[in-house]
Amino acid sequence: MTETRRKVPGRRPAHLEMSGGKPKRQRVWEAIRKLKEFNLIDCAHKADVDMDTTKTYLQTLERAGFIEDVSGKRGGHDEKRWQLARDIGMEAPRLTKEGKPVTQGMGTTNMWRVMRLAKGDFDYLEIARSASTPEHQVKPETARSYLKALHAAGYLDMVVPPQPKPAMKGGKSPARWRLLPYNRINSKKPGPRAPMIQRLKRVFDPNWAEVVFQEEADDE
Amino acid sequence: MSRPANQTADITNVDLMHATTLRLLGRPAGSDGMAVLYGPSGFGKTQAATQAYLRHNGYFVRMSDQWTCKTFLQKILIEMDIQPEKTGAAMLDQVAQQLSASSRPLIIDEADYAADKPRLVQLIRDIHDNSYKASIILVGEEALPQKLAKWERFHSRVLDWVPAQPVSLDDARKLVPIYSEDMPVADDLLQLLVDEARGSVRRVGNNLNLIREEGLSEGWDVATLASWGNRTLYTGKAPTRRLP
Repeated sequence: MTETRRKVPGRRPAHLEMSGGKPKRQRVWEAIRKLKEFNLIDCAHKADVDMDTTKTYLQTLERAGFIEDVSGKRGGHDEKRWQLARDIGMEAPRLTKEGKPVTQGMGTTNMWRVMRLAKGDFDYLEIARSASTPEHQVKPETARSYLKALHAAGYLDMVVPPQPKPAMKGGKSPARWRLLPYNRINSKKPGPRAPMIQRLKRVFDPNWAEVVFQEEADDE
Repeated sequence: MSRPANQTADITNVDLMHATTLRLLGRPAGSDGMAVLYGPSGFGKTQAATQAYLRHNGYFVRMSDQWTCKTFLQKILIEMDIQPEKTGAAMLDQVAQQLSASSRPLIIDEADYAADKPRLVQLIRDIHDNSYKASIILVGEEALPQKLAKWERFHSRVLDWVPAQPVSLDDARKLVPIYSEDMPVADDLLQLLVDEARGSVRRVGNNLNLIREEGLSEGWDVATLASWGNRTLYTGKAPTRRLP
């Protein structure tokens, strides 16, 4: 399915984006780093990405100052030549149309990072606490639902189930979790990129470019 | 239950580490770019390093005794999301290139494991010397500076030696909203926690948890030294595992 869809422009749900394991923008960025100086056609060809997507991303990169126009021509993008102006390494800059950095998903990224660093087990409160920075606060509820989804998708093991605390009038101590060295469903090692929760409670892992879990029906 | 909007505590060591990272990243080209954060366990070094990692979008690796030069390079490349090359030299190039291009700091936790091995110390120096303006921060135990002093050429490249600070009363005040948001704790009790903690942020956190539960079940408005009385505090004899 991805083969036939690949050249269709536009952004799609992450698991459709990742043909060949990499999102289109990432492929365009890698092409730019190889070519150094290029026009629209070279770039789209090298990246094997459709022209519309390439053009949009190039415009964005130009606005943000990552590439600069060296042709001195006005008007059509087909005529322009650009060169790489600011190389920030392998990872493609994540930018909005206006050329501003994308901050969406930082909470998830930070929670995942903290979990991968944890030396032992953890609960959702600890994850929210450690993953919060002054710029990006992670709400305990967000952490709770992320952990729940990761558990369903085979990444986590429940080390201690929630326990009632008699002293706390019906309160419970939260469940404690552990990140498994290998995913329970597909036996793969968790990677540096955070698994994403998509709509319909689907869990997509960008490291393996696959949907790990899809919820059938919600029983709660 | 209402939760505070702000969940992070900028306790001293978090601030120190943050400032160190900023100084490394903002240093003039051509000067050396390594820093060392060291101190006893429990002082919150890893927590401080984690915050720096998240805030500066860095790369974080935790050393292990088993690692060879090759595994070390592979682990860094995995964090960088780069397919490792076959040879050590090629991997070194990959790491150095990515650090130079991205200007993201590389944080090495439990660096004591590297400090004992000449080849790993040499490799970290090579990564530093082969990149342009790379920032590398080593985090380890109290003895780390002495261990590194043996390697003169490494030692001379360290821009900042940062000793982790023991937990203070001020830090403890900042921890209250995080560990005990619905049970205020008076300064006299906090001072006791700090005195008993022997510098460890972790112990203060654990004790705040304890105080909160006790206070809620006893129905205190505020936990004070008097209300706490001679109940036992957690002394760190058998530490439970906690997140950094």
